[in-house]
Amino acid sequence: MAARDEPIINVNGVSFAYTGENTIRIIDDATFTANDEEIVAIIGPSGCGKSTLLRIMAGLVKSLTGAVVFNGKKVAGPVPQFSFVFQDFALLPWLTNKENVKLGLSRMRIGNAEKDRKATELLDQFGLSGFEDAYPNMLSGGMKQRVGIARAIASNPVVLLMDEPFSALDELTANTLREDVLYLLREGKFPIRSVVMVTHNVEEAAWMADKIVMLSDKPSHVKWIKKIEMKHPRDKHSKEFLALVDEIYTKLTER
Amino acid sequence: MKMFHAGASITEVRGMMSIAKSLSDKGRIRLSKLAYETGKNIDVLLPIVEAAEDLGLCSVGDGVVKLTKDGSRLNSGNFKDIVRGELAAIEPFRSAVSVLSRSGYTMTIDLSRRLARKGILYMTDEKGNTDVLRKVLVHWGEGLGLLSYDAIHDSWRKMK
Repeated sequence: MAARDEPIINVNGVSFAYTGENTIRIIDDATFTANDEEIVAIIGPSGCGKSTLLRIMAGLVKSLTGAVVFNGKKVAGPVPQFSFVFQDFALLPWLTNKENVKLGLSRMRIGNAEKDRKATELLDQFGLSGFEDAYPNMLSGGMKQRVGIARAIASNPVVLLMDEPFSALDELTANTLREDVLYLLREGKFPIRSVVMVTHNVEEAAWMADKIVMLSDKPSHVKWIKKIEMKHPRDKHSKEFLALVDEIYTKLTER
Repeated sequence: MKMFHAGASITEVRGMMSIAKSLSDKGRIRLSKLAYETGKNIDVLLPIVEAAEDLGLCSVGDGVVKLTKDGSRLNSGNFKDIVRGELAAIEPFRSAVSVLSRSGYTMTIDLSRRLARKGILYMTDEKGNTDVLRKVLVHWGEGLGLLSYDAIHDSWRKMK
């Protein structure tokens, strides 16, 4: 993937509030795009509505005002061309790893044997060959998330939405998985055109993203959009990278 | 309305201040360096830093944490004394102290409802909000000797 300025998703003036006995405004008029061949990292303070915004983009949560537009159409519910990677893996524990991946193929009009073949191939691509018939509880956290990502990619999504995909993993495992995901995306084997990722990890955003969308504290608005021109693979010890990390922290605390 | 962050503990604020003090240059440390040294992501680090700022221990802006006079003289023996007064001026402690000064006693649920009417809320649903409020008041209010909690009656008095 090499970012181009053609929007795949437009987030236009999206607002959201939790309404119950009391009302708390969470997101206020969020506007940005996720472009073709772009990895977008949404970053911001805890509780500012990043995950909610991602769910609104996925069509899983309705916004109060504004709209998410994909390929010229307003997102009004779950979109078949979108896949979601969850922080806590969200694997079904009573299914084997292969059966979990096959869930991602459930909408495809192909026979069970072909689904089996594709799921096995995907698990192999994610380094899980030999674990097809094991259950998720036999896997480490990193392996579980590999199954989660394989399931998400199985349906050949155009957009991959990831909610803190590496935050439940130890740093060594997370680092390896970040590298693997970047490699798979940039290798061009999958039809994914755009990735939107929520993260609390500034270095992760600086290392992976082509664009950073920073939300303010709630009720959050888009405080800053930063296009990152640095080429991959990025050197975490380079002056340019360290300056970017520092710039992100500076913007986070800008009043 | 500015509210004390529910996501920071006393030990975390003390730990962050200790690291910031030891690594600061003339009382200043970049947030990126603090994040690196503490190994914390922003969802954890920012609430801790903001809590320390609310308590008058530092100021935060443009990516830099600057220790205040109080922050610079902080040690393991004087934390309570230094921050107790600041804590009493921040919601929800401000309202709690005010109510207890007048009535001497309040239930957590009554305080939660009173605060909600003023727009001081941690969560939208009453039970969740009351649970978070109780946790914050116990941890910080009782922890710093400002409030006294009766767990049997889920009620509060001012610390004598």
